[in-house]
Amino acid sequence: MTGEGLLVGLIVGGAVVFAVWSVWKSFGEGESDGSCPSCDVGKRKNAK
Amino acid sequence: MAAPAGVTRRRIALVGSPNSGKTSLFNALTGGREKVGNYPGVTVERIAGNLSIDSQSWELIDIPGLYSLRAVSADEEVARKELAGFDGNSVVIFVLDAINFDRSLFLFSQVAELGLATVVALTLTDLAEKEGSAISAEKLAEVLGCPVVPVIAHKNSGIAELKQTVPKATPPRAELGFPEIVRQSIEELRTIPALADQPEYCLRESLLLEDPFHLDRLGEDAAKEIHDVRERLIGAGVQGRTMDAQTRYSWAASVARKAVSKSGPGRSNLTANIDAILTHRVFGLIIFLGIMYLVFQSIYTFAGPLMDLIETGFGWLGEQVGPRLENTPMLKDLVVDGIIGGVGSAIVFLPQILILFLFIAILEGTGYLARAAFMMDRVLGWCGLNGRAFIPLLSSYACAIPGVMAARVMPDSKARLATILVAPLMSCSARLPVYVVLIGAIVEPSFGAAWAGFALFAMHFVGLIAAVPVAWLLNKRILKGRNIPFLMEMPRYQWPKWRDVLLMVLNRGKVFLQTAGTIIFAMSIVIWALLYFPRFEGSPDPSLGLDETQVELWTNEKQMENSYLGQFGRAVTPVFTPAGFDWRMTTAVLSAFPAREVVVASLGILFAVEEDDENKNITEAIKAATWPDGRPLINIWNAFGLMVFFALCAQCMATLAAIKRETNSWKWAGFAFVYMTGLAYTFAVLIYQIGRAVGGA
Repeated sequence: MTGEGLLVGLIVGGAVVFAVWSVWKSFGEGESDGSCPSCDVGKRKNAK
Repeated sequence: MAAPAGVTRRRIALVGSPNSGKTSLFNALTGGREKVGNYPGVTVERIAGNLSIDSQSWELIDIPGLYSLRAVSADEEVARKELAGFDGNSVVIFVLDAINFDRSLFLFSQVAELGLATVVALTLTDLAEKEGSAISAEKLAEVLGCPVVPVIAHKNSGIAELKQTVPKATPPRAELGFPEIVRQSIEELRTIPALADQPEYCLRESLLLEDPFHLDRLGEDAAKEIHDVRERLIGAGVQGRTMDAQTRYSWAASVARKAVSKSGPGRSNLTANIDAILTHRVFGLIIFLGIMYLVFQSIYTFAGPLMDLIETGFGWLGEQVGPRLENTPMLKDLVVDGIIGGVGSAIVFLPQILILFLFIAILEGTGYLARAAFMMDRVLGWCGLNGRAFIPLLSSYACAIPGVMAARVMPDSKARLATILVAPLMSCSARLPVYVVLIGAIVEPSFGAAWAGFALFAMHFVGLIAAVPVAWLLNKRILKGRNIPFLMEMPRYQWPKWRDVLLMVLNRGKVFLQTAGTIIFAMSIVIWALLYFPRFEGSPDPSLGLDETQVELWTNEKQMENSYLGQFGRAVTPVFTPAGFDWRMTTAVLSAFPAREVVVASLGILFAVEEDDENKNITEAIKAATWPDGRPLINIWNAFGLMVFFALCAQCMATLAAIKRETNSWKWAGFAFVYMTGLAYTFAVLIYQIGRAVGGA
């Protein structure tokens, strides 16, 4: 594989990973203990 | 600023009614930039900031505004739970609204009973004085039993004094004067060992209001004992809720008599006079539609030059970068067509986002949005979407994500869920390029520019029109729960505070660039790769006599057909054939499922056009495109079907994620995806098939 191919492969691979991670992260932030979602926002900030 | 190890950082809760100037005060105290608005419910989640007083670090928490400690909406629930977690080391800054003095004191009477050290920040005194009410901070402090500091947050007046007063805060001494029969009942409850040490207010709220917040905490056995005593009270003719409210308001009135002196004619009739027109059953609706039309027309008119500027900027960037990568054609293609072209296609909509939020901020700042919500309650109420749904739905016209989040202000969980599920139907600005391209290709050449403009305006109502029956069906058939009547305070009319307007616009721009920009950036690269690989190596038959440009177009077209995305598009095309979509239209539709913003880039590449004049050439290429038998590909019916498909389809992963986050359920995110996509497909097919039946397709 050429250097160009490797670089493009890395960029595309990174983009795929980032896209999957972004979706996973945005869905993952919704995890909670089952109480109302607004309160969960408060809890997450408390944890920080 | 972090507290030193081993030192507990003290906390301050900023508590007050909605629209009392709480968030303005938060910003003044912390130097923060939280969103401020002349509308109840601006703060829907806990917001924290840092505050330093005499070298001590405090955490200041802006709690959502509430009228009472008995929560009915999600944002009020945040406030209540937050306050329940405060201890003796914490301080409450109670924001007392001088305009709505009695009502603010009602909330104060409840907060005072928590026994927390409190300092009162008396806000809006300047407006109260204009209306002829002068409030004596000294007398008020005497009656309430805690320090009182008058502040005007946007002028930074009284802020330093308020900070210095925080460490001197004391628990208020508010003698509310509940009737003797209530006192006796509480004493009776105290004879029960489990309740002997409970605070009086907790027992009283449980007794008079059967407040589940307290009853759940006290336990089942205690709740039963309380219920028995309550039954006896009812038997003696005591109506708990009425007595609680009457006692608190009587106390508030007595405080007002001691601390307020009236010097003028009272509240001006200006607001009432304006409201008589703006909320009129007929004129109000006409004015509202007129304002909305003006807003949308202005967005298109004013955004155009800025969009052209951004497009030119990205075009220039591509021209600068391209020649430097001539020796690496694949990398050049990726950077110029994939990254610069893809990201540019999203950022080009930034001016529209900013202009839309500028209008929203101004309308909100003047107090008009609350009236618009009132008007919409009449229009939307019958289908289960009350007036509070208007703000989330309006926000969704820029982006569905803040719209979905804004539904938190809705106390009715059923209406809130219905609003969350229909908010993505509103025509967000990412749908605009599809409308522009197809209207430019079909409507304008056939019917003229005036009808093209009207079509663009009308497309923004397709989602709203679809939302009404969807919400009705959701409320009647799917969602469980009771409807709560729409109650909302009408804020006073005022000139918007331009700093707040600017902050809101800048904040929205930043969020747009951060959220849409990152995922679009990644998706542009992914789509580029799916369209670029595998490479097509063939060449056209020399006997066709194609020139260099035609050969390039032919090669591009073959490349798209044979790419992974093209192959997938061809495989799925039979599903979309009933809607009159060919493989290119199908592929463009499919590529836009993660984020619909990418569709312009997809259409541009799929219809094999030059990148340097993207919109115009897409329009021309779509007009010129044909089916294999030579018939024009696009006609009024499949073009309209495609626009309606984009108007109704759930092509935004980030919105689905927001729905999941707000509803705490994968089920509702999945439901939104299935019903919206099903609705979009059904209407696209129906429109095309009806067109065929009448002989137009």
